[in-house]
This record gives sequence, C-alpha cells and structure tokens, in this order.
Amino acid sequence: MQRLTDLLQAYYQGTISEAEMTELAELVADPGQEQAVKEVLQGLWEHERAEGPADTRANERIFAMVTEKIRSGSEERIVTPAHRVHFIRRFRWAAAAIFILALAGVWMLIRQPKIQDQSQAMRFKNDLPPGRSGAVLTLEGKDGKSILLDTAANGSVLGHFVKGDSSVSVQTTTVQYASLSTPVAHTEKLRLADGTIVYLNANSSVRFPTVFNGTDRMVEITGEAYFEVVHNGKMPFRVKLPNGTVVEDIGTEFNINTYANEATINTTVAEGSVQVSNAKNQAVLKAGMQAKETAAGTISVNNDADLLSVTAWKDGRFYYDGATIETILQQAARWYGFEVEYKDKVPDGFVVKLPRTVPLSELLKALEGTGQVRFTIENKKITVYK
Amino acid sequence: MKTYPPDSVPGLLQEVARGDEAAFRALYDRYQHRLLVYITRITRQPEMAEEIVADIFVKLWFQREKLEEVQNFDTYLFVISRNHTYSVLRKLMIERQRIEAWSERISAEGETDARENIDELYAGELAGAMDTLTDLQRKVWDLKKHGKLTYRQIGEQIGISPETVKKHLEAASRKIQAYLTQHIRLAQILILVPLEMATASGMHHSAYFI
Repeated sequence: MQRLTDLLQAYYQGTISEAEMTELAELVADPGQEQAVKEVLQGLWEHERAEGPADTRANERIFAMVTEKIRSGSEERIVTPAHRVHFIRRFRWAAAAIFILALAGVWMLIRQPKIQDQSQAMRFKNDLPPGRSGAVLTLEGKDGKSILLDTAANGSVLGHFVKGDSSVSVQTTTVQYASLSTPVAHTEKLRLADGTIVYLNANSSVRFPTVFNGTDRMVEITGEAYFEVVHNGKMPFRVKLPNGTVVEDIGTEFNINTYANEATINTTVAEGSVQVSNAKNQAVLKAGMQAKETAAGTISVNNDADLLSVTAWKDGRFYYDGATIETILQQAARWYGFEVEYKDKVPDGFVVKLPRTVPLSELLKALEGTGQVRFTIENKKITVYK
Repeated sequence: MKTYPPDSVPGLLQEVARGDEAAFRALYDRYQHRLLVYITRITRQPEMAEEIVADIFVKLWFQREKLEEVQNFDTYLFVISRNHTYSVLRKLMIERQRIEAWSERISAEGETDARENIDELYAGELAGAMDTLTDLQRKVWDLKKHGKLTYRQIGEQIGISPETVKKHLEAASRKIQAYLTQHIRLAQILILVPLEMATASGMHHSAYFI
C-alpha cells in the first residue's frame, strides 16, 4: 500500500521513472487493488490545491458541454419536449455568458490568429512525402533469410526471386514458404509462380508457397491486397484472411481489405467471380459486387459496389466519390504515415481524384479547396478543423 | 445575477438542490478548475479530462436533490467521480502493458508472431517512433518485425554479430515503447457512457460506467 501510494504520487506529480511506471502499471491493472487505488486517489484529491490561474476559456468550454449534455440527457431521460424547452429557457443566462465569451473570442482572434487561420504554407510546412515501393521479403524454413527490398539492387534476391523496380517475382523450382510484408507508407507488387499478380497495399502482408504443387493454391494475407489471378479450374486459388475466412477465385480479379481498424472485411470483385466462406456463411460474388463481413461472421452483399474507389490504390490513385473525411484520412494515414485529430465535425460527401504520388500537402490542399475543411500538419499528425 | 460569498457552499448546495441554475453555475465555477487539474493529472489526456469534468457536473445536476443532505461536498464530488477516474487510469495502465508486451515480443529471440492491432491503432505514432531510431536500429527492427527472423539470421543479412543485433533491437524496442506510451490512445479504447441516472438507493449505488 505504501509503495502504491508513493508510485501514484510520483505519477500524479509527473516525476515517475520508466521503471516505476512499469511497476505502477502492474499494481493498477490488478483488479484486486481497486480499493487501495481508490483510497490513494482520494488522498490526492484532498491534497490538490489547484494552484495557478484557472483557464477561463476552458471553464466556459466545459460549461457549454455541461449544458449541452444536460439538454440532450433531458431529451432521453426526462422525456417531455416541454421540459426540454423549459430547461433551455432557464439556461438563457448561460447562453448570454457564452455570447459574451464569443465576442471576447472574436477580439482574441483579431489580436492573435488561430492556428487554422494561418496561411496554407505555414500550416503545411511539415509536409509528408508519399509512400513508395518497398517491403521485407522473407524466405521461411531452417536457413530462413530476409531482405529489405527498398535498398536491394535489382536482379536475383535470396536465390529464388527476381527484383524489379517496384515488383518482385518468384523464380524457383524449390518448394518452400515465403512472405512479403509492407510497412506503413510502402507498397509492393508480387508475381507468384503461377503468374498470378498480388498488389500489396501499405501495412499488409502475403504468405505464399514458392511453387504451387498441391490440389489448390493457398495464400494468406493481412491488411489489403488486390489479386489478378491466372485461372486454373483444376487448382483453385484461395486466399485465407486473418479471421480464417477463405476467398476462392472462380476466374478473376478482386480486392480484399482486412485492415483491423476498418468496420468490416470487404471483398470486392472487379472481374469474374469469387466465393467468400467462413464457418457460418458463404456468398458468391460476381463482377461489381462487394461482400462485407462483420466480426460476428455475417456477410452482406452489395450488388453495385464503387469499384473505382475500392481499387484506386493499386492503380496509384486516390479516388473518392462522396466519401467521409474519416474514410479518406484513414486510408491516407497508411500511405503517408500520420495520425489524425478531429477538432470539428466535417460534413460528408468529398469527391477526390488525385495521383497517390503527390506529397500529403497536395491532397490536403485539394480537400481544403472544397471550403468545408482545414488542416494543420505537425510532427506526423494532422489536425482537422472546420 | 446573485453573487455568493466564499464560505457559502452549504447554502449553494441547498439552492442547487431546489433547481437554481445560477447557484449551480456558482458551484461549478468554484470547483471546475480544481477538478480539471486533478483529472488531467490522473488521466494525462487533457481533452478527455474536460469531457469527464463535464460529465461529473451533468451528474451533479441530475442528482441535485441529493445535495440537500450532503455534509461534505468535497468528498461527495470525489465519490461521484472516482469510479470513472479509476477506470480511465486502469485502462491507461493496461494499454501501457499491452504496448510493452508487444514491443518486447518483437525484439525477443526466436520467431514471433506479434500480430496485434497496435500496428493499426498506432500507425501514425509508429511512423513517428521510427524517426527516433538510428538507421541500424531501424533496419534490425524492420527485419525482425516483418521478417520474423532470429538474431543470427538478421546478423548474417547485414553483417553484424547476433549480440549486436540483440543490443540494437533492445534499444529500438525501448525507444518505440517510450514513444508509444507517451501517445496512448484511450479515446479509441474507451466508450464513454455519459451518465447513469441516480437511483433511489443513494449515491453509493449510482453507477458511473465506462
């Protein structure tokens, strides 16, 4: 208990060391310590004198949240609309206070421009370059080897592959497993032993045999990949996804997006058809159709998928037709390697057509051109303003 | 608008209990700053701290009738915020452990499958973390992580000894851990349920979940 008190106190005062932090994490993570932790928290509260000036803007901002939450809370829980109106009327004085604060804010604005009102050149001075081709190629097995394709010379690599400018091909008669893995902001194109081409998007991987000699051609992926399969009715091409679902080609080109931070796993067919199967469900898709699989295994099929948007990445383009800013930035984040913070809610419906080879600032300038959104770039972090 | 003398908290509580908004605002003004300082120091997430403070005052308002019987408002304010504060602190610590375990697993000897959503959740921060590494640290980290190789295999690949590989990997792991744990993302892990209405059974039973 004394140790917990000391550690929490150091944490509270910001003087804790990395080693102590690890120790504290262990204690606090233990549910058995709940009571003890809460007691220390109470002690810290009782001793907090909150010296230093209060931030009046934070004070107003938080109170505005309080009134808003009370208003929407009263909607759900206190039910009658009359009550709600009544509440707003009773808070008129608060609204007046916020109005006065807004006036003060305008004055502050004139004195000191807000960050999102700085010139575009200032806001984008920490620009990020676009992603490029590159990946780690690994040969599995006892004498396994890996190579960073970014820096390797073109030509024979690892004895069983040939590297080109932005692609790598399998060239061997030896049967073994290999994998190709792209970090954030990298893509790579892979030609398999059967001539099938796999485009690998950023932060993705594919594991494959160097020679296909069984009854089927099975590969495994994570992240996002686009397949141009050389059809062979006697030896079906199958893709195993991280959740165990199998996508089987019936003569075809298709895209699979399995990124864990997307809501669903999406399989989209550009040509031919595929069959998507998990333990519970299966669906057959034809060209132009998209299957969305939820974590629970439900598969829903959209007959009229937006193919151009889905496959634009493998053609080196950004293409969106009425997308949300969240969708666009989530995908761009993997390509440029940044994080996003949303300061304001931005309306939906962005239409974007741009090559992926532009620096980040070009994409952001295009989005700002709509007049709906503004950005700043700092330390590989984008902040989004209205 | 009425003004309140500094020693009038008991009187304020009575007025808030009767539904007086001006008294509520005065009570808010008196405690908001201290509560925000406290919650920010514990959660280390300034934006989330503001949200939590707002939720606490919303809860106070909806349970205002109870203020009539409150003897020690200081303690009462702590009690209605403690479950929330504790949960956030605990989740923060658990996330920290998850990041540590992940980076240690990657840098450990032997083949490892470190597939976790940390890569996805922290894609942007990882790019920043990579910038803190030296070229050699970065190279061994990439080969270990994406290539799933042994120290010996990596050493042969870039012409250094397995011991040196180990040294560089551990340094890379420490730097990445330090960077990510300073950028813990709670907003994506926590789903805040803003408020449970007070129950007749009294304040100790009114849950405040996250």
